[in-house]
Amino acid sequence: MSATALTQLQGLLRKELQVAWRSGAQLLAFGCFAAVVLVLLAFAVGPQAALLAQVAPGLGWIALLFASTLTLGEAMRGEFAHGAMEGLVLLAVPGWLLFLSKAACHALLLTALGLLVAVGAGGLYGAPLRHPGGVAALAGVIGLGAAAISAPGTLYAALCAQARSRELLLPLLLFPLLVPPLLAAIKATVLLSGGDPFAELLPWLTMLGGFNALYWVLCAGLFGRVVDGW
Amino acid sequence: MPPPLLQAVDLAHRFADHWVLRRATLTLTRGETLLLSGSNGAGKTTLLRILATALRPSWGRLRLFDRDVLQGPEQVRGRIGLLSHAHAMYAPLSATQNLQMVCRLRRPAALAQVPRRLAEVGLEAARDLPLSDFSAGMQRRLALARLVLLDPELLLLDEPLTQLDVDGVALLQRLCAGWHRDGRTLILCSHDLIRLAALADRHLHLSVRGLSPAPLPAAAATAAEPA
Repeated sequence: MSATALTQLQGLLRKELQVAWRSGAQLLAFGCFAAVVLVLLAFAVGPQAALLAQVAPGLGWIALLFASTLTLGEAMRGEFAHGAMEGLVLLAVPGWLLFLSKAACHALLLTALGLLVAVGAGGLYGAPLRHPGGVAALAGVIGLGAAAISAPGTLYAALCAQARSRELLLPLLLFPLLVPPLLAAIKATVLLSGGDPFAELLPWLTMLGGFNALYWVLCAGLFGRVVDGW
Repeated sequence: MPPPLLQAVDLAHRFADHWVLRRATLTLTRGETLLLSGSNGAGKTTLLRILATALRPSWGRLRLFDRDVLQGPEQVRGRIGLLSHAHAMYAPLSATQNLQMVCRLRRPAALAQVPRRLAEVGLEAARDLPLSDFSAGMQRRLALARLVLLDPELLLLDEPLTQLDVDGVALLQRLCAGWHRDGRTLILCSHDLIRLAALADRHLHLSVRGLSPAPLPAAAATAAEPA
């Protein structure tokens, strides 16, 4: 990466964090939305404690996935509301840098939200954490899962940002693409929660990492074509 | 003789089946200030967006800074400044943060100038307010400060007088005169010909037939639609 690109990336990351900081109330709203989804799903499963603990990882990831459609839409709305994204493109900032800053900051936000969801799901559903890696391993899996949502999510949110039915279009396009990495993230979380006697965690983490690598490279290459009107 | 800074031949653009710009041919030399007029829907904004490389034309050829822009606009983008209807900044960020971001991305050397530029456009007191708290006129002033900081060689100003008060109009006229004096090339696109005519070297009128020369100052006020 050239010195200019590095300076630009620093500037973009700083901008993303400033916007996120100034939009603190929205972050609270996303957290509340995820909490409501968790509570509703708990009602859907029923009062059996053992069953709730068993399905907790899956329900936690569903709550995070639903919340991500809100966070992605909101992050991209600000970019297109007053032509800010076009302004960046016309400053000759490369598309892959725009993608990297937006997707990385979204992944960070979603990881923080995922940790809150994990605490909520653990408390609400009584799910244990039996893996010796403990909280650090769980945070790692949440981070990888959040990154796998954020890369294609950022690309598709930009693609849908100016469409009339963007709220409908984004999950329709995004969710099918997220099935494989989310499956790996859920399986990894289940193994962290219930224990991993057969050492299955590593293959699932490898799959999650592989999808991350694929999505981040592909989406970084395509983002410029999506946001550039030329 | 140096090549023209801008050479557009038969530029046209359509959205779906509707042509919004037809056969615009234009040549600009370095340091020239052009006043561009045209009735609503004639395609003025579309033309400026194409010249700013924000929109790819459906038809025609475009050379900027002696480069074929259709082959790739990246090389010329940092040298063009566009003042459009949208302020192209972030509403949650303050005026200072917005300008600092632009400097970090394009002209790090200009970072120290941010407070001075804000004062120049009359926004010193509002420097820490989020842009969402700004009036439309204040947003326009901030967009002008952004242009000054970027210091582009070609400036494309779409309806620059919109939302500005009397002091704002005087500020804009001062800035344009300064840019002209410094050898920058300007296109001023407006319906308010009288207040901008004194800044321009020539006047072109855009219609469905394309671009045609039109008289400047007082005569322009009476001849809205050239033959």
